[in-house]
Amino acid sequence: MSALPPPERVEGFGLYNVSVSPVFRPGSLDALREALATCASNGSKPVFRGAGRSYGDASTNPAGPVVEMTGLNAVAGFDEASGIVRAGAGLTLGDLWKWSIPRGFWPPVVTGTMHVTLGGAVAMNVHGKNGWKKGTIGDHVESVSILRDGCRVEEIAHGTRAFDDVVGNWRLPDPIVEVSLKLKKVATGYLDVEATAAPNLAATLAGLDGAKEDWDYVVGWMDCWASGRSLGRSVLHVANEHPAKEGEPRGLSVEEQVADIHTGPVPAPVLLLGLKLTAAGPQMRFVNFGKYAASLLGGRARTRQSLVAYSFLLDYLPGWNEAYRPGGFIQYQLFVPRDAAEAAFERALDLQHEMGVVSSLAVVKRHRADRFSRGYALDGFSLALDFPVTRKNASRLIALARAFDALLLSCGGRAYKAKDCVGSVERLAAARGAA
Amino acid sequence: MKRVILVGATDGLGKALAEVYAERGFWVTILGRSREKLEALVADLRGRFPVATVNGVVCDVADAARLEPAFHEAIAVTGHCDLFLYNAGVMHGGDGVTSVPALDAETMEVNAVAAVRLLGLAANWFRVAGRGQIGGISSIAGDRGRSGNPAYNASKAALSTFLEGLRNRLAPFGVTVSTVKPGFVGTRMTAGKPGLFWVAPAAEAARIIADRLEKRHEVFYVYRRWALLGLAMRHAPRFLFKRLGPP
Ligand SMILES: Cc1cc2nc3c(=O)[nH]c(=O)nc-3n(C[C@H](O)[C@H](O)[C@H](O)COP(=O)(O)OP(=O)(O)OC[C@H]3O[C@@H](n4cnc5c(N)ncnc54)[C@H](O)[C@@H]3O)c2cc1C
Ligand SMILES: NC(=O)c1ccc[n+]([C@@H]2O[C@H](COP(=O)([O-])OP(=O)(O)OC[C@H]3O[C@@H](n4cnc5c(N)ncnc54)[C@H](OP(=O)(O)O)[C@@H]3O)[C@@H](O)[C@H]2O)c1
Repeated sequence: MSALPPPERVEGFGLYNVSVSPVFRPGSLDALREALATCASNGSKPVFRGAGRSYGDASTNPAGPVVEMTGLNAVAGFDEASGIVRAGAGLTLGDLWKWSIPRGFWPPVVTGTMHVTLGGAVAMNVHGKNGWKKGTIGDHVESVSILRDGCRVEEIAHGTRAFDDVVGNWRLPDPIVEVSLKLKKVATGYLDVEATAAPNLAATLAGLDGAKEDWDYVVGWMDCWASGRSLGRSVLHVANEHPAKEGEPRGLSVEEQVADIHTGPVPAPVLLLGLKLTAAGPQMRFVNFGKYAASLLGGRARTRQSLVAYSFLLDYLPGWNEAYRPGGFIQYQLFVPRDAAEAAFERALDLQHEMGVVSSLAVVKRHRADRFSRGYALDGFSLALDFPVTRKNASRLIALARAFDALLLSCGGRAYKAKDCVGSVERLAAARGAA
Repeated sequence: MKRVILVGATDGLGKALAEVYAERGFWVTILGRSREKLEALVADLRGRFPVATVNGVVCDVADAARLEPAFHEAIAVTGHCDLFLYNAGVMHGGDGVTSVPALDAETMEVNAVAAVRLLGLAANWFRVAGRGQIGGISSIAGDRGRSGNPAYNASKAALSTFLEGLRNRLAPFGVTVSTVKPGFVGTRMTAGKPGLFWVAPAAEAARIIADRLEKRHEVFYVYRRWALLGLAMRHAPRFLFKRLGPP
């Protein structure tokens, strides 16, 4: 029996959740088999980890080892006609788009960071800003391969019951080793992005809802500090693919994609500066207001932006989460049915003001109902919030999170494990199981 | 949002500390030897403080084989740990002049040996985690050997010195180690004892201790005036100690 490797610190992206776990980093299928055999012979059940971009405890293991899957990251095959790529579960979306964009393809669903692995994306069933039109990543996965019982590779096709059991299953007993994903053919690597201002919550939700059929990507950046008649005011960004035009660059190279980072409707430095300030507190208020005012002054501004600049803005300030040490920060994303959203989000904003803990950055999205039984997305909206954890706000913050739990319970909403740092997903499941 | 593990906290000061942390909405995991008392306390705290996440792990610290599994169970149910506090303690009264070796050995076992085992596991965990806090409820009684209960003095001296060593060991890793010397606290341990003064009610002592741990104080008393007395006690010449012999 081989011994477990020495324990290491394993953190969620929010840096609040941490575990001390032996970590395996297999670079091949055989090494993975060996790691699983070692776990089994030590009687411990591993937790699999992709790139560790879940905010909370999804890919940490307080009770045993962690198997990091990023070493299995080879592109194993590609069918140009169908756009289906088959790749190791440890391949990140970042590596994938760099590989696919010169071929004229883009992942059908991308998260706000490119540093997530295919395995992590499937196990969480992640969504993007095109949640209404394209659903979650599971909708675009043709098949997954699992290393069953530590020995044989089993391919599971979309549409089977076994597939339904894998997608969105963040505590899989067996690791995903390969994913076949249908990429989207793009004419250019650019989007046409329109920014508008929504003066309050009703306008924010109506704006997103109204745009969802005509625009592929629909997202709102909400200023949680606004109150009274301005409660819920946002800047809405909608985007569609920029068509190919004679004589225009097509943006299908990594260089062109990255060159675009500092353009666009939200100047990246402003947003990033705002994020840095979050840790320091209410200065963010001015950054938010500045963003809102800028979009008002600009009217209905249309800009061309690269897919990368539009999708992965946050990645261009590497290590921004480190600013939140030592306490870390937590995310809370409320998924609420459409008809309940206005009342629920109004309450969610009021609660923040009442408790004196206000999210500095809030993102609103429109979703369609998840097609997988472990899904979290529903026909409605989500509001993603983040809060630094400090000595001063700790008691109010956890009370706020529990008030969000109660709000979700009362309106038929859901919490999302990728963002959950305080056990809300488990608490909601227990409360619903008991009811 | 702190995640706190309290060892031996089903009565007295420990129980009061569990209540303080639960009231703050934190994660509280209690290690206790009596399943019955533990379950009752966990149910009570869950009922009164629904925001908090309260769990219990059965563990008699005198059972050496149980300590490591109990430690890992506690970490697993708590998710992670920001504060690991060793509170379990016994003080066997006696006639003040006769040693009862079996009881003295138990005192050493519960107050010192088990503490060293559990705190050592915690220290390894925190060193790797690179943050957090370890604490022990020691006592002014550990500053000097006294006539009344030498084993209790020795057990607390061992605990204090062990904590001091951990503090120095873990400082480079960003981990705080705190030694609490409460002074008299109104609990079962002190009930009916003569000659007490400055007795702090358990709830008040717990609140003060939690606040000072929160501020990462390293060595402290509940009431600051104990610091003066402590200083005098530590430096009182031997002959005086023999004569006055505070028990
Ligand atoms: C800046 C930022 C923006 C984000 N934006 C979005 C967004 O827009 N939409 C969204 O949906 N999410 C978003 N997320 C969350 C993120 O997409 C998910 O948490 C995703 O699961 C992270 O992937 P990962 O590879 O880092 O996986 P990890 O976080 O390491 O793991 C995620 C889960 O997958 C499991 N897992 C990982 N790999 C495997 C495998 N090979 N086999 C079996 N199980 C596995 C883990 O056990 C864990 O439960 C964002 C996160 C960040 C940091
Ligand atoms: N009271 C004071 O004035 C005073 C002063 C200085 C220091 N202290 C120290 O403060 C700590 C708390 O004391 P207290 O006053 O609250 O006394 P207490 O009321 O007697 O509580 C002692 C706690 O330790 C637990 N314990 C004892 N033996 C144990 C074992 N083998 N396994 C697990 N748990 C065990 C007890 O569990 P049960 O509930 O099962 O009995 C109880 O919860 C002790 O370390 C004590 O030495 C107290």
